[in-house]
Amino acid sequence: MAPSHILDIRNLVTRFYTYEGVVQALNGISFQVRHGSTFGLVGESGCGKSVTVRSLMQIVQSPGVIEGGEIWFSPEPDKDKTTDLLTLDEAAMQEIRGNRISMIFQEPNAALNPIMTIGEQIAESYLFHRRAQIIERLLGRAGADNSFPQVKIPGVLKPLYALALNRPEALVFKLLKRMPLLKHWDRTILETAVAKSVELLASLGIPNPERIVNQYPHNLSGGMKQRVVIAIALASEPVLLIADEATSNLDVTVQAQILDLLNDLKEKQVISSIVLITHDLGVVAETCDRVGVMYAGNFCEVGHVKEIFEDPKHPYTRALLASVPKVRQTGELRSIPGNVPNLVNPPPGCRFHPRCDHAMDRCKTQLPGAVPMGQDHQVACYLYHKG
Amino acid sequence: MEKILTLENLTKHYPILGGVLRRPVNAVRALDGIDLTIHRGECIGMVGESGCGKTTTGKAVIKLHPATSGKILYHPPGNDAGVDITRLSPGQTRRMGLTGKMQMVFQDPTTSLNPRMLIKQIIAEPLKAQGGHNSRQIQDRVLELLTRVGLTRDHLLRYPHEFSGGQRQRIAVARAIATHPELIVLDEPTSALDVSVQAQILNLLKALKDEFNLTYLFITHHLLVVKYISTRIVVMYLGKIVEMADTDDLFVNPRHPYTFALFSGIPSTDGTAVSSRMVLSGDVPSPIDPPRGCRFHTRCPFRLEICENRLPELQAAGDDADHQVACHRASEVPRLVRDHYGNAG
Repeated sequence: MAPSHILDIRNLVTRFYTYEGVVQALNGISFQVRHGSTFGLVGESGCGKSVTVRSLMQIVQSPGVIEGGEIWFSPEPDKDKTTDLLTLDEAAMQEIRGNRISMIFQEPNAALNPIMTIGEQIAESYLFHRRAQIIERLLGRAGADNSFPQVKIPGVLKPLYALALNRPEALVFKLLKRMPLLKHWDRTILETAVAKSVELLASLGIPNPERIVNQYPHNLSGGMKQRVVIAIALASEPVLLIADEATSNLDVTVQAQILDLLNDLKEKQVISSIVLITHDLGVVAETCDRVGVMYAGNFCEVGHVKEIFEDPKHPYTRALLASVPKVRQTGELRSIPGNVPNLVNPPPGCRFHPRCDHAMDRCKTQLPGAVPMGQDHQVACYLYHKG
Repeated sequence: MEKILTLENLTKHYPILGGVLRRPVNAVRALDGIDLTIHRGECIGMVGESGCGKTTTGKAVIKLHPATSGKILYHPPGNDAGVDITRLSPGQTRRMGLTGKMQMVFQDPTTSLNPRMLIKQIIAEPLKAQGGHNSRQIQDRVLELLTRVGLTRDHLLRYPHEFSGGQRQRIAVARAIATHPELIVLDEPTSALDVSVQAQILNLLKALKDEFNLTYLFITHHLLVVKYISTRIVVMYLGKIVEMADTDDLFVNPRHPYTFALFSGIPSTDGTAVSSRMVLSGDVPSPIDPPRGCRFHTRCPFRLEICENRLPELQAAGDDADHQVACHRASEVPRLVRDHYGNAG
């Protein structure tokens, strides 16, 4: 059977070993992301949304350790090829990270290098992931990737390019590279990549891409920077895009622009699937197909967006939805009493029970498993356990 | 209704220094002449994108930053003429008994509380600055405030880092109401908090307002928050007020194209997907060199020639004097939006 899920995460456990104790950030979570869909991860800060995707990309920072679970990644929908990312070594992971799966971070200021021009930063992505294709194209080989512009290179340098393509580790190549006259031999590769970046920026609807590529991040506005970050993420033509709070710092009108852009990219099938992390329930309601609600390192509820918003089952989802001001708000806003628990010493049993209105004795000792509710909707709550 | 504060043509320009002599070469026109009357007991919501001058208004009102020109009139109870407080020195303010009448709650409680002070010192500080209390009175008052905002006696001898974000914002609120203020400027008090905690703080603020008869100037970029708490909304764009109306009226019947775009940008959780939204192109222009004429004309889908040349005045829209809008085409805009975007508003 061909896998219909681009991502299938099973029992993922990530812990952080700090001085204060072991932070149980992910407590064995499982979820699936389908091909061609947008999956939303929502929850309050500290619930493990970011750790989930960082574990997925294996960029959990020390002292964090991925302790168990499986992450099955199947890039192509119709082929029966799937790999467990956690079993891959670092070199194989490099091939996937930023190449097949790209990530956009919350703060575009921190994601962009302030002393490199926009063009160089987008080109970097091409140089890292597509260097061989660019060289082939420059050499004018048959069957080369013709999406890159072809620039003429001096005949003298052609052997050097061929060497760079075929035997980059060879001693003679390393020596030649250092010769004063040949020092900037690879200038053309960079220029090709920058030219390609201009095309990419234009396709994302950025005005004056020729001017933008020569500017620095501080010349651009917040929304524009976030678009550049998206361009960098898309340069490697990923199949899965992870947006970690990509619009949280932007103004409403700019946020609307960015969300429009992401939806547009998915419709045009530039990217197959998106995992969108956010704390803004409104953003999820408007852009996602399926949504997972997280609380303190566990999934409370996973299901179709419409079902979750119209008929939430888990007490936490209900409380969360009730605490958001609505367009047609009537009466008092309901809030959830108490605070998010400290994950060094989480409450036993269901981690939501100290704040839950429906807590039973069983909730205090045992963690509820996920119960299927109707089609494609799972709830982890004892209210729905039978017997 | 009784007035508490009147802003008359309030302007705040931040100079940009340049050259060898560091002389002002240009200015950021953060606030470019706004007129606003705040009534006692109301909650004015101020919305707009970043860089539109919301926070500058708040800071100018409580005189954290002196205004470049214009007037701030404070009306003590029963005095309708008002006192000009724009150029008062701190000493004069104290002699007139105005210290502590206006307070501010800042956006990020992590940075607005001194990490080296105990909670009891933090809350006592405005009382000490105001003067006229002995230490026993201060202690009692601090405890009273702390319990009012939902914390306990145990929290008195702790430092800010021992609290969660929501608790810290409660402490900041307790500090703000310590001196029995009449007006509190709330500068994005909930934007650093999670939704469930945000609801707690909003409900606390609402309860405090009724209990102590406070007046709020609530600055935020979150339209639904402002809708929940405010009675009147002021929409700002590039240092100017573009629309001002009662909350219910504004949400039902917006007049300015920018207000339409803001509303249309709200992602709704009601599950009712917006058919087509009005997405503005481009970004907010720089306040150093704002566009001529109507400041919104560079992004406005309905601009005419007049918009590029003449700045529209803030005028009553239709027959409702409380609903003011600054747009040359105010009367046509609702129809234009409907024609272009369907029921996007």
